[in-house]
Amino acid sequence: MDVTRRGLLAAGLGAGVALGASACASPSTGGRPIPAPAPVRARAGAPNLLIVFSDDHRADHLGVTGAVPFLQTPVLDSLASDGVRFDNAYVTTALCSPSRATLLTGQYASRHGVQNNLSAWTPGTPSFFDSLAAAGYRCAYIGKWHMPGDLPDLPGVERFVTFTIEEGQGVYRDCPLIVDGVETPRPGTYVSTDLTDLALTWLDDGDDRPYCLVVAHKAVHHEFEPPDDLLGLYDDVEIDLPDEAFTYQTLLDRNVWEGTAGRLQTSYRRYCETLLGLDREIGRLAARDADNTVLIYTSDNGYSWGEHVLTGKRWAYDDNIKVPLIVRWPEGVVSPGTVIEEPVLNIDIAPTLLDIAEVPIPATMQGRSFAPLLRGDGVDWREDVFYEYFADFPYQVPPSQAVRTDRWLYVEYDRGLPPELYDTVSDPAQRANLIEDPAHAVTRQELSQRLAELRREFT
Amino acid sequence: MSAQSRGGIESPAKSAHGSATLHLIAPALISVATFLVIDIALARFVGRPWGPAYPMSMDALVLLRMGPLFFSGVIVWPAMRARGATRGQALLGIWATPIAFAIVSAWRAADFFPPLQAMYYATNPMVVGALGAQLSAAGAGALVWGMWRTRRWSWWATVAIVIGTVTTVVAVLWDGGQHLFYPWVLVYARIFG
Repeated sequence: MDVTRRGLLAAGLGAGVALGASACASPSTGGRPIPAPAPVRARAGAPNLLIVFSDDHRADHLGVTGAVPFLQTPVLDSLASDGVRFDNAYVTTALCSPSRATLLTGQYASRHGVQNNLSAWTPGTPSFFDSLAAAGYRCAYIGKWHMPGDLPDLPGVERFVTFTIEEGQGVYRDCPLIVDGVETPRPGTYVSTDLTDLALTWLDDGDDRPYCLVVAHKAVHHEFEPPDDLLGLYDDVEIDLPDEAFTYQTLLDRNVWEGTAGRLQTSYRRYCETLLGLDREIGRLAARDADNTVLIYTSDNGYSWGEHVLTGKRWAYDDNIKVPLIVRWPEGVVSPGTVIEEPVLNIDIAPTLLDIAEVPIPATMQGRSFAPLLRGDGVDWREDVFYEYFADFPYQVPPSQAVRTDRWLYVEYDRGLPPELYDTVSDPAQRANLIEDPAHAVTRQELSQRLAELRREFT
Repeated sequence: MSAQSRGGIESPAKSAHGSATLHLIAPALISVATFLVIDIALARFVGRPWGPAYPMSMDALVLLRMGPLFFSGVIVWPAMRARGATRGQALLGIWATPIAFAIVSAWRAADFFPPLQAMYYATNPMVVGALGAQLSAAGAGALVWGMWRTRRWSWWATVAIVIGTVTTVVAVLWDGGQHLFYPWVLVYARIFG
């Protein structure tokens, strides 16, 4: 056979184009509105449920915490003072897709199956939408879905808006949307504003049923693009990086895949500006229906900004697993402005919504309603939380399981890597691994046993 | 005395051949060695702040590592060609450091992923970007070297610069490389999913 260089080149190009085309094909089916199975009238006085879900917003990045002196989040601060803020809210897997699935199902990733950003949502997976729609709620999901494969036709969801560009990550400007299964160009838009506009339009459509609306933002995920009027707002503030961090750590192999290559300080400034832009959009939603609406704000995971020389998420450290959680519920919160210390998880949000709506909580949900904590009821609460992480190519983060108590963080890794133990009280940044310290041998053993129990319970 | 090797003593002809080969590939070896030394130093010191100079030192190491990885072709190509290397040998020379990086990447990825997946990791966009950058750098080196020696413009070098630059931009510079990154991950999912 006569193989020429030109022939080889053509064959290579052809194969590349074919592979690329098949890889780039975006899911375009699904995401269609599915009305409630039968017209049911919701109980009188049923509260509206508004869940605002951001991306990569770490827990201490709220103005009200004072952790970052220059940071402004006036709307979220105001919501916290009108409602409650949880100081120990954790995610069960610090990653976009698993966290979204957990929010909707009240289940660990081990159970719902969306274990990483390459795992698809299984059609038919029960979510809180099913129960609420069956109870007479009208439901909508507007924003980042991010799970691969075809978009789902979620039972009970009458408006489904998302984006599939950049494999579901979306873009900040001119982000094309899929509105009820129909691709819709959105030229001239900023995505946080556009999603909020669509949410408000849906809320104002004259339907008098109680609603459950999830607004899932792209912000504040990279590429950290703030609205035009906020760009550069923090250019002159002093950035206090962790001791182990440095400006171009973003070029290290373990960080570069986050898409944050460049000066760490610059990315961080843009992150904070993008957060302020998001805060403003939350304010537009929060200004509507303040009375009989439960507003829950939280995020899919935290984010490392130099801690452990990391720029990203996935690890079991607090920067990654702690998220902001604010609930404004005028009818239910007895002591506005309260900071709740009990550890809650994102698996708790689904059962909490159903509890507040007085809808039965399915046994499939692994979380627990924190509505009693909102009301200030004395209640026995969990003392520790279980965390799990699964491999997510190409990120070089070992699969892990962890237990977090009010004092300790104990992490076990797969692949034979040694465990880690941190005293989060004396070492809040979790830098000093005490696993080999004989003084903590008993603690290590107890936590290892506890982790095994939690693993059996939740996976 | 015979020119053949006897009793473990290398023959002068073989020794001369070895020296010539070493002389030929020395520029590429120096680039690879520089990259590996910096890479190992980074792995050794990163995350262990020792004082005020730590951040600056780490930044310097990270940026220095980009030199042999992305840009050494500007020297390696003309140096190897001047030592008698064919175009194919010189091409292998300029890509030796990105290939070393790919091997190191796969080696490290094997701590986190099964062997075949770790091997796929070696095709990551940083490697592709480095291959492109080295091609572009080699083109620039060849152009300057050719102009200096013969006063003639090299269209081959110009084409190399363009192809190399486009590859690098698509792989790592354009929106942080995500336009190649996501398809690369999807191909992974197709293969290993």
